[in-house]
Amino acid sequence: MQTTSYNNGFIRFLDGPFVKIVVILAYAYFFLIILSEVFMRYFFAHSTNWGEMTARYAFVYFAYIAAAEAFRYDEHIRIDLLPNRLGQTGRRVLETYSDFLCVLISIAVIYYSIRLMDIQQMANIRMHALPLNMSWAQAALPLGWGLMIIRIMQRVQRRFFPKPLSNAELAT
Amino acid sequence: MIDLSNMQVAVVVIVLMLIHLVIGLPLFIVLAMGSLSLMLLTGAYSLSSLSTTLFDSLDSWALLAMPLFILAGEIISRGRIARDLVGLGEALVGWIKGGLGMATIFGCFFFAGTSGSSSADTATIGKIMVPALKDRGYDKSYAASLAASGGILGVIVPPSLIFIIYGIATGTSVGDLFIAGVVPGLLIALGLCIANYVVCSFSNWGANERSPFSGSRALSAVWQARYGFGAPVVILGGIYGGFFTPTEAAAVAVFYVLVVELLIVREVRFSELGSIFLAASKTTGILAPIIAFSILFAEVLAVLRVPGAIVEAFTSYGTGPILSVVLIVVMLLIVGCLLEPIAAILVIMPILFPIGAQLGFDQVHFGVFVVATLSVGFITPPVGINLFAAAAVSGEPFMSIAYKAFPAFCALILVCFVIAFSPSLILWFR
Repeated sequence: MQTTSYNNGFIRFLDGPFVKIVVILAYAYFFLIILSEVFMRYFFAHSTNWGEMTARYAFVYFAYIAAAEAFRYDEHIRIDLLPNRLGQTGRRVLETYSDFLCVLISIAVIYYSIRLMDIQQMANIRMHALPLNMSWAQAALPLGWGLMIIRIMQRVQRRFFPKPLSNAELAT
Repeated sequence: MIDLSNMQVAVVVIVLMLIHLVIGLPLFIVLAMGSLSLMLLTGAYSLSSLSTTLFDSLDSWALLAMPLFILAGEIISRGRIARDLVGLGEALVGWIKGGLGMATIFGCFFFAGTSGSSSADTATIGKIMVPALKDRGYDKSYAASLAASGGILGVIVPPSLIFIIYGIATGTSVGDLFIAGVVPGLLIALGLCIANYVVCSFSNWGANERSPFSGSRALSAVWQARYGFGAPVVILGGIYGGFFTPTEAAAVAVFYVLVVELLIVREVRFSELGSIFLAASKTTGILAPIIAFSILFAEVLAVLRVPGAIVEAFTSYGTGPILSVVLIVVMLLIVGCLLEPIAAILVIMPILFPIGAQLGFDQVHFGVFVVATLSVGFITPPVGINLFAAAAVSGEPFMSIAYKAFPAFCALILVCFVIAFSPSLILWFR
């Protein structure tokens, strides 16, 4: 039986095109910025001091959001020889244990990132090429790992409380 | 002096990590768990540096080349360039016994000049060549195994994702690694062609396919495939001409393939761009947390002096250089069987790199040797990514393709030893 998860409005919003658009925009941004820096250097003998920096920060945002999305589609690299030989219960236990560890790790990353962002705010640490606080760049971590926790919770929900697809969902 | 208690903790944690890996936990979770456990249990590395390291490890100009080369590969896999490159391979070597099989390998070689990924190489060339090979009398599983083994060239011929990762993990010049990958790429292609020739001689597969060599046909194929040469010229010429960094070369290569496929040959439509970006983002999303946590893991191990202790143990046995290289090859083959090679390089380099230095390897030469040997894992069960890709495009069983890839496996092992003991072949550009 095909199943779906019980989604509230916020989760439906995240499951919609919004996250995909953010990923595409961040990807396109660092591609275009790097390309334009090369063209400006050769054709106008000029380059910005913020281009390279913002490309790197866009990549950090992009990478962690894409990592969370890889959880949504269960694409992270693993050795699945043993899980494939287990029964459904055994696989569920393993997957739940794996999800539990990942949530713990995500919480640790978010906690220490927010602590660092606090320090950056208090010490007024600025980006070297823009008049912005460094915590705006560091925010990529709590954002990406927060999304990861949401995707893991969705997996757990689907695993233990599956809901049959509606006729409309089956049709799509 | 090594702190024995810290070493004991490190050994226990590494064993636990291996157990968690075998029971099927995602690799990045295993690396994270290992790093955090070592930080908590030994106190040698502050937990508050977790967020700094995870940010700094991805905040890297050199690493930006990775998603851009993935994007370039995704674009050409959907366009015309790949087909033209295979046509060129066929025109050049199609007249030899087993020529269409060799054309598959050369198609992979040429395609690898733009794509940095072996599975993209396998899937794209396999999609084109497996049906053609089957029509000309080749066994279908063998045809798929040719695409799988040729796909290895995707990570040896520049640009290569694994070389970028190796460069970042070990502080080696990515540009030097790219240029050093050209000769091994040719050696591997040659080795695979010889293996294919031997197989075709015994099996008589493709015996009726041969048409005499035609210079005009070859020239016409070169002209047809002209756009396929632009990206490698931009990448290697740009880096070695001092025009671009590898990251900038990657962006210019993406721009080049976009212009060719969207505006000149018009095989890719503007409406496909969103799905191309999303497909390319998946690979980065899988690799990013592994890269971040493997760098953290390497830093923690370095603080605990684990790599030094392993080098000490390795060298204390007094093995000569040949036996040491054999041991490294065996170890890399085992690791390559179990782990995806990009992930494997991040996991083992903190330990293996000092051993290479101790044995007197140049770090570029060592990188090419390690990457070539690990890449054999792309065609070995249970996690041979190229075998999965070839199975997906051919519809043949995974294990049947793996079995038919055995001649290629033997050829690759021989080439790995040639690479290990011929530094002048690899470092010809110095």
